[in-house]
Amino acid sequence: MVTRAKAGIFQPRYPTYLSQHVSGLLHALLTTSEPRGFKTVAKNPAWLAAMDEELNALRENCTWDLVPQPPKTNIVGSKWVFRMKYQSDGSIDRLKARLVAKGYTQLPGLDYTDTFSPVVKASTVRVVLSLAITHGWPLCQLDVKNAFLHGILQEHVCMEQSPGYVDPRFPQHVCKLKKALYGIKQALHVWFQRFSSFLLKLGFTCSRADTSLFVLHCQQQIIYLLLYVDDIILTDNNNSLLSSFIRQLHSEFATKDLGSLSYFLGLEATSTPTGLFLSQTKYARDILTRAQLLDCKPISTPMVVAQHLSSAGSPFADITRTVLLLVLCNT
Amino acid sequence: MTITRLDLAHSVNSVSQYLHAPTDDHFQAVKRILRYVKGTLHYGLSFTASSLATITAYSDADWAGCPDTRRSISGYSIYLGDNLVSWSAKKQPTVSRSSCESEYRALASTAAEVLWLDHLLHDLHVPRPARPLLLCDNKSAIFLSSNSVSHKRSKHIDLDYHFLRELVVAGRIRIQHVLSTLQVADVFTKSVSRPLFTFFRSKLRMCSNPMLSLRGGVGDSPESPPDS
Repeated sequence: MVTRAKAGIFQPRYPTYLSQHVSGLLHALLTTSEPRGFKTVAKNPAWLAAMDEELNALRENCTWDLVPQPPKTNIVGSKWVFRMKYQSDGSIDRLKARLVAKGYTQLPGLDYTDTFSPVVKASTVRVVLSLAITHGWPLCQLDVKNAFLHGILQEHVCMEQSPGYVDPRFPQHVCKLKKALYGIKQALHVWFQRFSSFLLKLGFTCSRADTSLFVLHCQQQIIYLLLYVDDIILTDNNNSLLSSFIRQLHSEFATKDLGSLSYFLGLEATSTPTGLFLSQTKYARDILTRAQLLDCKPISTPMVVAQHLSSAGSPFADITRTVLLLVLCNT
Repeated sequence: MTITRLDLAHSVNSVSQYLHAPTDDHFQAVKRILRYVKGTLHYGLSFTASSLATITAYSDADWAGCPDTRRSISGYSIYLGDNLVSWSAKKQPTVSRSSCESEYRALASTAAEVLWLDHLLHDLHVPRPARPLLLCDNKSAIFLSSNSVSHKRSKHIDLDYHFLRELVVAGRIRIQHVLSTLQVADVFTKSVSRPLFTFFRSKLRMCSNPMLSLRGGVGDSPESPPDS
């Protein structure tokens, strides 16, 4: 018997109010689901190719050494994560497989010590933008590809071999990680260490007021660099210096030049005749969509005049909806 | 959301304090915020070229603004030249016994942020032509910061007291009086009426996306009719 599932017939899983003006991309996102675990895709050649590609990239990067299992060590688990990347019309762009370490099996003190990594303060971003606009300096944006894989691990972390790709000659061996992998607790920390030491070597100084801000100042030339995980904003008063710096950066880490500043940390930056305009229109619209208030009547102030909210009052009946709204507004 | 939307800072701050036990009022308040967001989807922060890198900070407090704990709400907005770079709306950690005390605490936290900005500008190799200027609408708080009088009602203000006073004596910052009607940090401490709100919002460099208005308007109008 051919069931509906076998014939690929499914009830739509998305709310019906979306169906009228749903885009192809949204439809694809809502109807297809990504496989979980190695076994589910073990027979699918497309996913196998994606996994081969990921393993080759890791090998080229010399991420680990295959060694016999050292006695009395904690072995960190590993798993595959699969993602489908869509094009804007909803068709599948490519399949992406990532090997991740199960960071939750790492032991503190043994497998990792420091995990802290600074991120740039919003005020710092605004100060740098304000200075760049004042002086008329160009703002450009870079993105580091596979940033986490660049970090060099100091600790001895052993990980089990990737599911489905166990070396037949040494099935009992483990991967001794030399570089950070997705999921490793200190991945962000070691990435920041690696990146900042590279910048310091080039003559940058790390700001004491905000450790994610780096400044290169020699004679009359100056470069500001802001780092947010793997996103970088650059501005300077001398274009030739900047382009040579970007080349150096590109040779050290694979970076993607995103051109002039347009979309950074969810901020939409528009250049205007008088300067720059920062907004979060897309984000605001997403929040309204999630709260199903896209068609509500607008109002001119966010709060009733002289209103002081207090904890007194009857608890709201539909608590899930309120909490959802509060969370939405808070994010 | 509050990275660019400073107009929401106070309202979001006050509703998010009741996340653990929301009531009907809070639900209405959140809905109102979202309705306001709907009307101002294209609003954002604008940056323009300004001549000097001077720091001007407005500091304000709403004394005993929280009806549950009777703590005050402090807010500040800091400009670098003409551009707004930092702001905050926050409930103070302790109860203040007078409005002067709450304003004084607000001044101290503003001064801390101003000092941080000053360090940042130093790291950025920006020449600073003038001392940072703090503006406050409470005269007694200003007197407290500049004179070393120990009033019997201000004896208990200890830590902030010396911190701010030392800064003023050392000449690191200046404090001046500003009229309450020009106190732009007001919107971070209380909910104000519509004309005031729009006035302060424009002073805080918030406007609708200029590139959109050049093209002749958008679907949802930024200005909505007043709430009746």
